[in-house]
Amino acid sequence: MQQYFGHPESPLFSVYHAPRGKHGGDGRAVLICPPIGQEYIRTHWCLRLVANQIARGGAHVLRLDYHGIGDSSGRVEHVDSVRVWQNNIREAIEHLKKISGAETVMLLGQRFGGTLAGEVAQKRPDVNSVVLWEPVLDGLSYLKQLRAMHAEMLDLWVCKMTTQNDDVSEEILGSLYSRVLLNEVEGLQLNVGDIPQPQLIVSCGCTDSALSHPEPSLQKVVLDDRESSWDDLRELESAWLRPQVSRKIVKLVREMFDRLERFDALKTESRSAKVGAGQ
Amino acid sequence: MKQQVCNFGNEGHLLGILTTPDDDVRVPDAPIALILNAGIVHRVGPFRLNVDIARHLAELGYSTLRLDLSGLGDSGPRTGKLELENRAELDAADAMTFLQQETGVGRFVIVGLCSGAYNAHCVAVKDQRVIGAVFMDGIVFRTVGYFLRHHVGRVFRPRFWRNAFKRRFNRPARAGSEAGGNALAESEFFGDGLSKDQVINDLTGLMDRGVQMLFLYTDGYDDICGRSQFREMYGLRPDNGQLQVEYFPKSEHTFRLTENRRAACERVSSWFQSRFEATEPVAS
Repeated sequence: MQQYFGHPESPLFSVYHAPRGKHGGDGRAVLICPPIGQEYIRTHWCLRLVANQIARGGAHVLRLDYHGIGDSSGRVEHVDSVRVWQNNIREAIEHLKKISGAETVMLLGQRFGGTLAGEVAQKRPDVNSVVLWEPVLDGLSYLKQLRAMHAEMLDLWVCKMTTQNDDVSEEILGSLYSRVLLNEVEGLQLNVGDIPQPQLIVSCGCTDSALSHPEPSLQKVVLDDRESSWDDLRELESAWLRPQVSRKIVKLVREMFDRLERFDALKTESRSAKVGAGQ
Repeated sequence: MKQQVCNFGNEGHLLGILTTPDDDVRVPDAPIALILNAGIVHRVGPFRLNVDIARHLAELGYSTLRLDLSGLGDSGPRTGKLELENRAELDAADAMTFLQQETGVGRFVIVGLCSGAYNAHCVAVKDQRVIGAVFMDGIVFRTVGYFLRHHVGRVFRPRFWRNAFKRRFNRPARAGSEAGGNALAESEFFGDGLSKDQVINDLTGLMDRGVQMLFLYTDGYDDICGRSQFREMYGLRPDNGQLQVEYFPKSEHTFRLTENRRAACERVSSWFQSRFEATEPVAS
C-alpha cells in the first residue's frame, strides 16, 4: 500500500508492506530508511525486495522517501539541515506505529539512511534495534567520495562543463544541495557505540574500528565480501543488487525479532527501562 | 500542486503518482501527460527527471501520471498468459482508462525516455486516445550522415581521444561488475525492435491522426549525432508545429546534470503549453 502522510503542505511518500506468515500482526515493525541522492535510485529495487521478504516473515514494513527525494514533496536543494530528514524518520516511526499497532520499531538504514537512522535511534525508546547497511560513518569522507566521482564525470564529459558550486549550493552527481546542508553533513560522524539498541551492521569488505561497540553482545557485524561500488562512476546508474547479503539480512532481522520478543523488548515500557539503565 | 497515489489495473496491481495543478492555474480540458519508466528506473525517473517534468507541467496547469509498468518500481507483475502482448501497451491502456473514469479526461500525451520512448511509440500507434507524444532518446537508425558526423567528426576532436584514453586506462575493469551485466539488458527493454520502414509508416500514421510530437535527443545517446539525423532517418521535415525535434549537444542520455534536466523540462513544458493551450490541440 502506497500513501502520502505527514503535513499536508509537505507530504511524505511511503510504501507499506503488510505482514504475512506466522508472526503477522504481533508487533514486529521495520522502518526502512533509504540512501539519498543517486544512491536512493540505485537501491530502490533492492530495498523493495528486502521489504517484501521481511514482510513475508511476519513484520510490518514501511519504506520512506525523505523530503525532496523520490516521490515526496519538495526539492532537495531546499533542504537546509539533516534535521529535516531526521524529523521525516521520526514522523514515519509514528506513522508506522499507528498503522501497525506496534509499540516499537526496528530501523533499517542504508548508506546515509543508516547515518540518519543511527542518530534518530539514540534518543528513541520506541526504537527496539537498528540495522545499518554499509552506513556512512564519516560525512566528510562520504562527500569527498561523491565529489571525486562528480569531478571525474565532468572531466569525461563530451565538452568542458562546470556545475553550480558556490556559497549557496553545490551540485553533486545530479543533485543540487544547499551549502548549509553540506556543511552539516561534512561534520557528521556516526559512532555506533553511542547507539544503545541492539544493532546489526553490514559492512563491505572491512572491519572498521569505528564499528566497535562498548557492549559487544549488542552488536553483530556481517561482512559483505563483494567489493564496494559506491565510488565507481561506471556504476552510477546501475541498479545496486546484493541478493546474497540481502537474504542474510532478512534472516538476521527475523532472528533479532525472535530475540527481542524473548526479552520482551518489543514493548515500550520494558524498552524505556532498558535504555534508561544503559545511559 | 497536489500529488496523489493511484492504484489501478487488475486488482490494483499498477501504481502511478498523479500530479495535479492548483485550481487557479488549471488549463481546462487539457490532456493528461503519462510518463513511462525509463529502463528499470522506478517512476521518479533517472535523476528524478520524471518528477521535475510533472511539477513543471503542474505549474503551467497540466496534470501528469508517472506510472510504474507492471513488474517495475512498486507495481506488481501482470499475471496470465500474455506473451504476445506488449506489457507497456496494456499497462498504459489501463492507466488511461483509469484516468478517464476518475477525471473525465479522455485525451493523453505519452512521454518516455529511452525504452520508455520505445514503449511510448507503441502505445501512441495503438491507442487513439493518445493525441501527443514526447519521445526522449527514442527509436533511431544510423545513417550515412551519422557515420560522417560521429565517427569521422570525433577523430578531429582532441577531447574524444583524451576521454577514451582516460576511460581505458584510469580504472581497470572489475570482474562481475553490474556495469558489465547491464550490457545484456538492452534487449530486455526494447521488444523485438522495429524496422525503419515500420517506424516511418507509424509516424506517418500518427501525423495523419493529428498527434502532436516532440522528439528530444541527446549527445549522450550513442546512435544519433545531430538534429539533422531525424530527417535522414525518416524523411520527415521537423517544424515548429506538429513535428518538433530538439537536440541537446551537451547532455548525457539520462540528463544527469541539473542544467540539462532544467533545459529538457522547459522544452517539454513550453511544447506542451504551445500545443495544448486551448481546449483542442492546435492545428499544425
